[in-house]
Amino acid sequence: MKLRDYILRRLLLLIPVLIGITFITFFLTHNIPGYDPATPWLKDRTSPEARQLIIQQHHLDDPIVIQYFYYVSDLSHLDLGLSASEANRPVADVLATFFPATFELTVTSLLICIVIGIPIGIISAIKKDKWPDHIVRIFSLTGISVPVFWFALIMQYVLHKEFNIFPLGGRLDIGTVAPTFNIPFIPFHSTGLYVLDSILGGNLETLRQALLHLVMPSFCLAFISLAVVARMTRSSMLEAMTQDYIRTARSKGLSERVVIFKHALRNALIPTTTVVGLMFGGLLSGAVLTETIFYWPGIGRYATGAIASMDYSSIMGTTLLISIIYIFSNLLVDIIYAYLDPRIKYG
Amino acid sequence: MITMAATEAITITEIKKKGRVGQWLVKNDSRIKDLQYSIKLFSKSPLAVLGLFIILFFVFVAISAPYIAPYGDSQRNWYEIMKPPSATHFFGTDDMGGDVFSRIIWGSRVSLYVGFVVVLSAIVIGAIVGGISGYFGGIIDELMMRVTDIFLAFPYLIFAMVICAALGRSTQNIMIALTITWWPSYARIIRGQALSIREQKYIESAKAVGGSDSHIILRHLLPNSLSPVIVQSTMDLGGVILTAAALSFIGFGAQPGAAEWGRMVSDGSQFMMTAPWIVTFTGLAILIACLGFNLFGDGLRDIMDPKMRR
Amino acid sequence: MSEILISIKGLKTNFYTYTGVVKALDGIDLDIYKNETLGLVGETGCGKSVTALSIIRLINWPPGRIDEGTITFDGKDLLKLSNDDMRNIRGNKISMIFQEPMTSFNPVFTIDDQISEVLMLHQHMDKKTAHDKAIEMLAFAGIPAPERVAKSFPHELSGGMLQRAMISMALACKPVLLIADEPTTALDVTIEAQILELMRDLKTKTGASILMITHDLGIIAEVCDRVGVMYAGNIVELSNVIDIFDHPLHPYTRGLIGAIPKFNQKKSERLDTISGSVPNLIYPPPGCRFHPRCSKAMDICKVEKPKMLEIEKGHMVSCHLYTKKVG
Repeated sequence: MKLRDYILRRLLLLIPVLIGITFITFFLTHNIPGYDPATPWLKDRTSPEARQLIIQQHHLDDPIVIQYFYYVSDLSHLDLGLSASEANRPVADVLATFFPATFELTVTSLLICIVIGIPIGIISAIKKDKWPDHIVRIFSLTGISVPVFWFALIMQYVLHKEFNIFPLGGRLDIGTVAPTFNIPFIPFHSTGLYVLDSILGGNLETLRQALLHLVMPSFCLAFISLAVVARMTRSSMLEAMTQDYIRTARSKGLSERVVIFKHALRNALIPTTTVVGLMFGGLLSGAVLTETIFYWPGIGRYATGAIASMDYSSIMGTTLLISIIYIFSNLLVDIIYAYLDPRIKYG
Repeated sequence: MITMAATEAITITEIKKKGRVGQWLVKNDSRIKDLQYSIKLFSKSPLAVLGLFIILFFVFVAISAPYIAPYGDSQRNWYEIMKPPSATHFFGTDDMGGDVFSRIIWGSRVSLYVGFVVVLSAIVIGAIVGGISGYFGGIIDELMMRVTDIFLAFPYLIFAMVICAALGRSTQNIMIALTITWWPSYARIIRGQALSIREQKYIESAKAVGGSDSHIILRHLLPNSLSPVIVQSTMDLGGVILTAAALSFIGFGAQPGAAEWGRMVSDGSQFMMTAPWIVTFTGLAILIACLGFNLFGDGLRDIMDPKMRR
Repeated sequence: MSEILISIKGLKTNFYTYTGVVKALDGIDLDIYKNETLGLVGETGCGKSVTALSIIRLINWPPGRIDEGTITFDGKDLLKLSNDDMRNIRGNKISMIFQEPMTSFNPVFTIDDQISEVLMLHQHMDKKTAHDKAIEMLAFAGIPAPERVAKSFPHELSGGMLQRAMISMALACKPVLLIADEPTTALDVTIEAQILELMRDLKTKTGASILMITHDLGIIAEVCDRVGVMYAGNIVELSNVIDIFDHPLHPYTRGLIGAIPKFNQKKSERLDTISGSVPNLIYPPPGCRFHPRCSKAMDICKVEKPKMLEIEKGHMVSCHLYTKKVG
């Protein structure tokens, strides 16, 4: 089976899972006791008749299965309802506004994970059982034990209050306008990714601010995943180093450096890539907490607020979005894995 | 096996004399020797042993909370709000005059309780689903695996949050939410074991001798699944405690002011800049508890690793 | 009169393990001549692979270490060379092929990549030249459609094909010594015959020497000019291949050859076996390591290790039964 067919098959298998997700999300958020489903459309003094009208308009008294179908058909138009916690803006709009912030944060964290985590793992494998290895081991076990929200608060205290190196939160200093750019032939003027926008627009000041503001939240988020990546790299390197082909490589007279970094690493990266890809889901979860503490205007913080104020269309929309991202990133990881490892037969 | 045969040869006539206990010892001799070797290996790893001590320490603290906590869990002293650590208040006081040290001790009860209940429930549910799925295979397996996939498709925290939102805010609902989030991984483990066991020859012989399905499940499937489940659950205990604290922090669990670790951090976060000890010490408690479970689980995993054994 | 290619004297290799020091090689003396195939035969655990790995210095520390001895090659002692100098020799002047071709290749690189790698390293070729030469070597090793095989990944090829590829990789830089560690053990018999034929052929064409490690006396008979018999870390007998089958001197060799079922043996005859089992090399028996299993053991065997003596031309044995004859 070719790679293309493999991808197609996986995508098809996704469909039942996607349907299942929409169903679960819908069902969960429609069964909230004591909650008046007409709430998003109620104004301060809505008469009972007006309320009745609203209910009929939005099919709120139909059997739940019927409501589900309306919901799915709305979805196909990308209509996710209105967000009560955001002055009744369409949920889809709100998500589109907040998503880039989370994306920027998550991608930065992922980069930190890779750039720091993998080398640490390699060193740990090479110096197995010596003190660098022990230190990395303690570090990684601590990493997965640390509560993200606590770590964030401590970071804020130490790095902002005590040493004032980094700003407390937000994406830019208060009062700074979001960067935009103006490139011919491109119809839009910003991606929502401030670092990218600053570079494209040649705006050095916002670039500096955006980067500074990114540091704490992304390190905080990355810390836990870093530990896992380091650990994973270490064990897959160790696994690779005991293989026969390493002995062959040495018998050919290759230098130890080539043996480790070309022969062993290339093999060790395969399972590591899988783990890194799966980190993405973990990062999304962690983003919820981190964004709240660092006042980061992303979908994580939006979700928390929505849940707190029982804005159920927002909750549904966000959960759906996050789950879909998660599934697709998993799929991407599987595809990358199949591409990297020539032994995978897609049949 | 050799040990068993040798021992049996010698004592085969003595077994009846040794009674039930003796019989059990002989039959499980190789397992006992395995266990002894495992314990020896384990004790060689200082980190793993440290993990075990931490766990035991917290269990002790949780159980004996009423006797060792200097102050009650909802005790307030309005003259002593936001005081830094001192001799009378080891970890300082919070914004309502509660003693942080005592509240952490009281909080350990909730956290450990939640952890154990959730993990145990997840194992039970996961074992049932995974066992049935893997053992019977076919359509049942496909169906159950799709369901598991759907559950696994949600990032765990979001999922738990949504469930909590749907059910209402209480510690009990946190436990339900976390159980629902955690059972799929056990289903996977046990299903995997069930699948491989199904292929093994000794199941054929067990069936040939007339063993019923439930007999096989109980006598063969469960004991063999034991080690990966134990390793996973130990590390999950840490993860559950962490997630439960996270959920409380966001606002889903205990009521504001309750002596629950996540809630304490959340309540204390507003005063982080002025009274950092509230957050710091509580968070440290979460960290160390979780670390203990992870160290222990990691050590367990190492000794189960066949490459390390002899 | 052939020249000596490589001369090993008093080689002792030990493994420092958790349970004790495994004295794997107890002072090996061995000369390999130019353009000969020397076989090294013995039971599992006798140290033949360790000897091979010691020559090419691939003994990993921990836990193994070459503690004593000299290996003279090209006027230099290999054991005293720096790591860099040794690396220049590996894959270049001395090459090795291994038992399991399926796992000895790196699964994520093509065959071409892996052969070109050694050419680019030692012969300083550029990528294109190396690629062409690799194809040439594959053809030289009797691989049909070498272009296609070169582009393949290891898992796409059969064991026999892979072993040929490994041979071509080992011979790419025209080494003078090829060490073959049980190259056909993992292959089935028909493929084994082909590979042995190939090795015989290549030896003639390239003029290299082959050190053939095996536990199979049949292979010794097929391809080797001389053979050394190893037991528990010592070479107990060394001679040309005809003599060793015709009149083996050492009791162990006699036992080995006697244990082979013969064509004209009667069915009712039991096979000769050597009683006992291989000794624990952490606490090896004193004196001659074979004495606990030897039907001809004398008192001196338990105390003193016999020296390697030349009994007839080209036939050496290390056994007290023969020390009187020469001394």
